[in-house]
Order: sequence, then C-alpha cells, then structure tokens
Amino acid sequence: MKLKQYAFIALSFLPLSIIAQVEPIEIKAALSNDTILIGDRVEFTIRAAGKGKFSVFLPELYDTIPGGLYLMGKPTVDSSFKNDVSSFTFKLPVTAFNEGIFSVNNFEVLVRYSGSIDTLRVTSNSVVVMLVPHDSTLNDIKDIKPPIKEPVRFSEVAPWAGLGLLLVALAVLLYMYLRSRKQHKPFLNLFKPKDPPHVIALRELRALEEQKVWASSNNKLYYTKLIDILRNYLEGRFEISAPEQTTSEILSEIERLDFDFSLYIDTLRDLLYTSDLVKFAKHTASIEENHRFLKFAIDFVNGTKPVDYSANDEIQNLEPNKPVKPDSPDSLTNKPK
Amino acid sequence: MSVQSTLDIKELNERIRLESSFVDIINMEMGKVIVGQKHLVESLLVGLLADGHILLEGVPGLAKTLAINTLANTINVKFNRIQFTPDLLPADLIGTLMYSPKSEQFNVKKGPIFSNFILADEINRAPAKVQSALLEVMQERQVTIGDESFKIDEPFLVLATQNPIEQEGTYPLPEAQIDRFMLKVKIDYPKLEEERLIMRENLAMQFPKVDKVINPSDILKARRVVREVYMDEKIEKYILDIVFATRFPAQYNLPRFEPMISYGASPRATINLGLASKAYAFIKRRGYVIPEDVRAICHDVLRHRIGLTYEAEAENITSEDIITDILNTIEVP
Repeated sequence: MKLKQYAFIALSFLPLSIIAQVEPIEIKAALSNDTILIGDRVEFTIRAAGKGKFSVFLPELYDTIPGGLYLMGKPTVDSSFKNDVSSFTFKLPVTAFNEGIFSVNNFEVLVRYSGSIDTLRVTSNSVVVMLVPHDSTLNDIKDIKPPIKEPVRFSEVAPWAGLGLLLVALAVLLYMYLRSRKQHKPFLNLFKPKDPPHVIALRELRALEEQKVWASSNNKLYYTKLIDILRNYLEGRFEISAPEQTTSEILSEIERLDFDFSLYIDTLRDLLYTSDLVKFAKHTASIEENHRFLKFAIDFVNGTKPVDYSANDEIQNLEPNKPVKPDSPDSLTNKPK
Repeated sequence: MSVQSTLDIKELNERIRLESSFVDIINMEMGKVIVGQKHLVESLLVGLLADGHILLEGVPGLAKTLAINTLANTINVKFNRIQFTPDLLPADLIGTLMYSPKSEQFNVKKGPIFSNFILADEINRAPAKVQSALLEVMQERQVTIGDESFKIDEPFLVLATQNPIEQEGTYPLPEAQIDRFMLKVKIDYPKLEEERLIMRENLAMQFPKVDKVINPSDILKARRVVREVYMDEKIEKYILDIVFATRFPAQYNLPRFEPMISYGASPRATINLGLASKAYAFIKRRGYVIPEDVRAICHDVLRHRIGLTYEAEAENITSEDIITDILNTIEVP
C-alpha cells in the first residue's frame, strides 16, 4: 500500500536562517509488545527529540516495513516544540502473519535541519509472533454439517423412470423383432393389417355354423349373434352405422346405397324381422329356418364383398361383381379346398 | 315354457289387433281435420294410451289447439279448454267454495279442471301458483276444495301448449314440474303440399267435423292392454342405457357431453320411456316392443328432462342433439 501522501511530515517553526547550531537529535524506535499472536496488532513507535528546530518525516511506506512486518493502517504523527525542544512521535500499526521472531531493522527516518536532510536508521526491539494455541476446552467441536437431504420428488424421477421404461420397451421390441426374424414370422400383430369386413364376417359365420348354435334351442342367442355379425359387416363394408340402427333403419339405409341388393333384400328383410320376433317377441324359429338364414348370411357376405377380394377368398371363388344366388347349392357347402 | 310364452305373445298380438282397431278410426277422424302432423297425432295417441300428459311446443298457428280439440271430439269425453293468463288464480282452475245465502251454506263450485281432457293453452302465461295447482292435479289426480277431496274422472289427460318464441310476460315451467309431462312434443311447420291443402280448405270454408268414435271405457281398456305389451330384457337394457347415457355420457363413449349436461333424465323418464314405447307398439298393432318403438318416442320423452349447462348453450348444443347422438352411439339390441 502506497502511503506517500501520509508519509511526509514537515514541521517548521522558525526561518532556517535563525538556526545557528544543531544539537544532537535522539531517535528511539520500539514495538509496543514483545509477544503477539499471529494477526494481532502491534504498534511500532518512533520517537525523535532534540534541541532546536528541525523536522522529521518518514519515507514512502508500502505494505511491509523492513523486518517483515505488515503495515495495517495509516501512520499517525504527534509533534511539539516546547522550551526550545522539538519532539516527534510516529505510530505505525503493524502485524505479522507468520510464526517467528520479528523486529524492525534499519527503518529509515529523514531529518531535515538547516536546509540539509539526513537519513537515520533505527532498529526496534523484537516481537515474538506465536500461533493461536489450541483451545482444549472446545472438546465438543462438531464437524461441518452435510447438506440437508430433501425427499426425492416425482418430477425429478419421472424423466429417468420414463427413460428407463422406454429403454425396457425398446429392449423388448428388439427381442421380439429378433425372435420373429429367427422364426420367420411377422414382427408385431399390431402392424398386421386388419382383416377386411367380409373375411371377419365369414370367419364368424363359419364359427357360428360349426358351433351348431343354429341347431340349438337358444334361438335368441343364435339370432343375436347372426344379426350382430351382419350388422358389423354392413358397417365395415358399406360404412353405415348398422350396429346402432334398427331393422327399418338398416333396410332404408341399404336401399339408399349405390349397390344392387335386389337378390338379397327380401330375404334380408325376412331375416331382420324374424330376428326381431325371436329377440323381442319370444318367437321360436325352426331349425330349418335358422339354417336357411345362416346360409343366406354367408351368401349375402360373399355376394356383396368388394370385387378385389372375390378371387382369393377362403370361402368360395366368385366372379367379380356377380352376386351369388342365396339358394345356390355351393353357398354354404362350398368349403375351402 | 318357451312354447307357452310364444303362445302368450301370439295371443297378445291377436288381442292387440282387436283392441287397437280404434286407433285407425281415430287416425282417420283426425285426418279429416288435421292435415299432416302425423307425429303430433301419434304422440297424442301415445299420451292417451300411456296415461301420460303432453306438453306441446310450437310457434303459433301450427294447429296445436286444433289437434287437441279434434282428439277430444273423437272421444266421447268431457273436454275443457283453459286459457292461461297472468291474472288466472288457482281457484279459477280447481274451483272454490261459494256461499249460498239461500241455504246459508258454502257449496263447492268445481272448476274447469273437472273434466276428462284439459287443454291448458299457453301454460307458461300463468303464474307459478296456477301452474303448480295444475301440475299437482296431474300428479295426484284429485282436487281438494275446502275440506273435501274430489277424484278426477278417468281418463284424465292434460294437454298443455306453450309458445317458445314469446318470452315477454311468461312464467317458464320449473324443471321439476315439467318432468311431470310424459311427452314434450315439438311441432314443426307442415310440408309444402300439406300447407297447400290447408290453404285450400280454409279458403273454401271447408271445415270437416269429426265424429265421436270411441268411449272412455275403450280408452281405459286399451290402457290396461298397453301395460301388458311384452317388453324383452334386451329392450329394458336398451332403455336403461339411453337414460343412463344422459346421466353419465362418458361411460357410454360420449365424453364430450360430460360438461354439457347439468342433470340427466330422472327415473320417471325411464318409466315413461318404457310405457310410451309400449303404447307406441300398441298403436303399431304389436304385442311386443322393438327398438324402433323406443327410438320413435325417445326424443319426446327425454327432450324436456335433460338439463343443459351454459357451455352447451354457448356451443348451441340442444337436448335434441344430445339425444340424437346418444341414440346413434348406443348399440341397438
């Protein structure tokens, strides 16, 4: 620290011409303590006294002074002139940050008198700088507390959990893919195209036939299943919401479609009305009637399915757009070869 | 068991064919006066046979009053028309006790409500206390004047009309009271050809008269038969699904209606939908109910029983739309 502005002290009590003779000047330097702890403040005092008029000032001071002590603040000066005696007292707050014995050696002081300047060097007494002693009474000293543990929040875990699940899912998919590749099977049923409505309907009608529901006494169950298959087929094939429509609504909707139902409409009407009677009026249809309607249902689906599917269908081969006659002998009995 | 049941239905069908023959006659007689409005006539017959009161709503001039008048005229019953006005009092409706200076006694003076058919014209013009008195009679089928209670003669049918466009000076029926009407029938404008015929008849001053073709006892007998109409479990479930869909639309794949319905149809709606479906099957000369019967009458039974939220009103969603969507979503048995 540069303390130039504070270092210069000049006192002049009389004109220089008056000074005729110079008496010896006594200068003493001392540290206020002989023992301190590291970092404690100690005062370095310089006293100068002598007869006559003269002035004393300190050189430029920085952070340290000779001897290794650190300057802690601004020097103060006290001066007086009494009974023809001039006296100066400088006080410098100093300290040491290392353990050991320190003293101020050859500290330069400037004295001006009779127009000339002399440099004087002073040496102080020693100070012992000690470490801070360990306080044996502080036995219960505790370690620094670790950071407080906060409960883990879901928002913190979720991304990691999601990532974990994603990785697991990817691993499962990879395993399934490798296995399906090894077994030469389609990878996922999810990606398998859905069967067209007529395939589903024919499969279900075939199942209905094989289960012999038509021959059982539970007419209600049989007609419910049969009509549900036809309704779902109509919905899938012609995009009419047949499952949510009544008999008359289905019939009027079919009549509005741009498709030739002339071969089927009468029997379809008969089937729908009979099913209503069975389902809602406790009507019992004969086994022959049940079988006839099942046969018709298969013919209806085969005869109204899209043209593209006619050639490769599992139930029977049909010419494109040529409806099968409901009573044709190959309608029900024509099983896949 | 099954054979027996089948025989029962066949027998019931036969009975209904015989008992319901008057339906065609009433239709024919009403057709002399009312041009078109087939749905209105059917609804009136359903109300008559299911013992349910009817609220008719339509703009003025759609023959609401004429239809009810005509129906009453085809049946040999007592008929009164009450024009509801803002200054009408309950006593004007149900009657009051009159002091007779001659006999120095209070005598009961029965009001116009003592009749078989009541036409409550513009019911929403009368204040709440009069509406309340009428609706109480509709429910209880008896009137108390002074200390004495009087039973209303059967058949008792209230046919009320209300005008939807004039809101000034009207007292809208509260939801709790409107629920007592079995059907709320909305009447629309006639078709072009029908209106041409109406114009011609009116210009030619040709106003055909209807004959009384049926007695009250026939109606009461038919009502008993209506209750015997067979309703299968599947139809019952269908009705319940429809009604529950108005209460919990999300459970029936209609979550978009969840914020739009403030309250769904009441259990009274379920009862009325079942009964009205039976009556509809009866007028179609059938001894059993089919889904078509339920669907045909569903709007009339439910439209006044579904409460809409402000959100629905803001989006212009009516109870009609909700019922239509419910019917289009729930699978028909």
